[in-house]
Amino acid sequence: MSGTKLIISIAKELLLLVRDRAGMALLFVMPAFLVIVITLIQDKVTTTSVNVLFVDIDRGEVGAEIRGLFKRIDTIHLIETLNGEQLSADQAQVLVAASKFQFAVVLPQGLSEATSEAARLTATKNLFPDRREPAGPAVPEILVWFDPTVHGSFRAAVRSALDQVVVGVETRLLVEKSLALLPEKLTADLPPALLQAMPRPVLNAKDLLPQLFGNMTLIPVREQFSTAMGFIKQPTAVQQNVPAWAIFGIFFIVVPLAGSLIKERESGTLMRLKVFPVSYLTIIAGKILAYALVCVIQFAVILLAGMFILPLFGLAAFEPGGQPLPFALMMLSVIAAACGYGVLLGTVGRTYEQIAVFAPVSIVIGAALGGIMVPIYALPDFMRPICLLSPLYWGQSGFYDLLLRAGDLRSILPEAASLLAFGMVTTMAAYLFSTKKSRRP
Amino acid sequence: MTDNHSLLIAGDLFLTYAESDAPALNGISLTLCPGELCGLIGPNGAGKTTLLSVFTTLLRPQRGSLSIAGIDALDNPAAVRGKIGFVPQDLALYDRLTGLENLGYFGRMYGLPRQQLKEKAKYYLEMFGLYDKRNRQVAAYSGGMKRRINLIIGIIHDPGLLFLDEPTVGIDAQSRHMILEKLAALNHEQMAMIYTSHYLEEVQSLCRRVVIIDEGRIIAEDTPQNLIAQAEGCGSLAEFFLKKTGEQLRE
Repeated sequence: MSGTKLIISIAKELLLLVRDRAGMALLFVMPAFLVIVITLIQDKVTTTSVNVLFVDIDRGEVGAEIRGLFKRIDTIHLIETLNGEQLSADQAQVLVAASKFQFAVVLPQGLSEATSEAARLTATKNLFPDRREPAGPAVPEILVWFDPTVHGSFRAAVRSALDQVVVGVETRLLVEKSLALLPEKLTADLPPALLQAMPRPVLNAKDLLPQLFGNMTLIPVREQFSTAMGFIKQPTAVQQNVPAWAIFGIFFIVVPLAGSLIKERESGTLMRLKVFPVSYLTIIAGKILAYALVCVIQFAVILLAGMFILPLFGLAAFEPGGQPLPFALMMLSVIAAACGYGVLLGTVGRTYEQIAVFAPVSIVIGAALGGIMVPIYALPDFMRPICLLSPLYWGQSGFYDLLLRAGDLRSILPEAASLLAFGMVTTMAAYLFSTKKSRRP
Repeated sequence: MTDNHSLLIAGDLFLTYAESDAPALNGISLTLCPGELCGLIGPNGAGKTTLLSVFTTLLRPQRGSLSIAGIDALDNPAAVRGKIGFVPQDLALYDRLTGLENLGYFGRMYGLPRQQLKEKAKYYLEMFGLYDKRNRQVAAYSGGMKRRINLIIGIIHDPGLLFLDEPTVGIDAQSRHMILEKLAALNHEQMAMIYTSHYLEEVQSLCRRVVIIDEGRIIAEDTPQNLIAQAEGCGSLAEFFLKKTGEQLRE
């Protein structure tokens, strides 16, 4: 491969790219725009609370308690009035059916009374198994309306919050009713002498309830992020999304790169160059290096957008970390893989139309499998081994090692090596495909 | 002439495409001397483009031999490529580059040093009347200008042997006249050429030797005058061609 011819090829590619100003602007702006939009969306999805219509027909203590417990959950925001008027169950149903709201919780009439009686009966049955009590009223169901367009994970989150609230109310009621019956139980079961020696609060156990439930949290939970390198800062949506979607954006270089190869083939310039004393590898390498340079600039634009534009929207600034060498290695490895894939598609693809459809779709599939759209741990078991084959996964995993798991050069080597190998294999496959085909009738 | 002085010696070339039963080249033998201008004509599908593709090392025949400038072109195609020029029928240009940038890129791909390339580009741009438009993007060129720059790319490195695949197709009479005139001048300077065209009057006026191929075989070969004289009642190469290849339409 001649160095001079390679440099001339790179210069020609860059000149062609620069002349297409609109194309260049799109190449640089669109990936950065994508990262900003996706990060904003992801951040808001994880931090914004879900609006839930709350209709309390019961108007009793259970409703008040459920309302109170819901208000402790940050991700749920209860709406009880609309335009200053109390919501009815029918209104809530209509609003959810019209997709104006996604959830509605309706507490039916008599809920407090029936639940309280059910708790009392359960406590009585537990403390006085031989006592016969008439059956209480059936506890009416709490009704939850869901918009059919709501995704399963959101529905599960709301349902989980409701279950948590209901369990809290049930527990409180059972304890309250049991404590109320405790003096009677003690009087019945203990000898009078022992009973007289007991402290007064035990005999009025019901009074203990506010003390018992004054602090509901018995077992504290602490979040900490597990990494091989010890404790790290709390990861933000920005820190997770910027590298992931940057990889996705960078991979879209496949479309113009493959497209330029196909256009050259269609115009006859590629065929003409085959009559020149220059190897096809030089031509491919010239293209790859020129587009790789574009990718480096794209990456820089995306990172700068993460560092300086996202904070303007109230998000945390992206922190590229303090390891420029491993970061650069990961970036170049991703670019090598994307360019190799682009050259292969441009060589194997017959028409620009084929590539214009196949390339983006294949990248989206790679991103979906690679955990960029949905985390791999959320995918079904049978799909996970397939996910490990996606170069976008390797890229994301390497950047996460660096930016979220406090990894170093050694920890990203497997991912970087996989990406570089993918780039080399696809480039060589393109070269072999082209040379094999070129002189064969 | 099949001696060592020949610039191109093709022997018994045989080539069949994978998707076809009939051979595209069926035992073609041809020689070309330095400075010779040979017209290669034939109906559509006769094998002209295939033969040019073999001569320019784009295709390797299944059988036969090919020597160009004393080099075995089938075994060592890379060594031949710097010695030949090729003007394809397609306008194989970069539209977003200027005429001068196109010449610069292709010239450097031929391995021309920067200074020599600069001189050659100026010389040929002036020769073909494009010097004033050299800094304009090719996309803004007329059809005739594109044809001329397409031709200059093929000769920028002063090859000893030039292959031209219908270099005047789709352009006006003025541009065609200029191209033919300049080709004749280049040939006068000892640049050998193999020239294919469907414009038979061009071939008749430009070429000293004409080879007619059909169904992958050479069916006639001589000077235009001798070919015309061979057939009774023919006043032109076009008439001789029709008589020889038949009047039925080809695919």
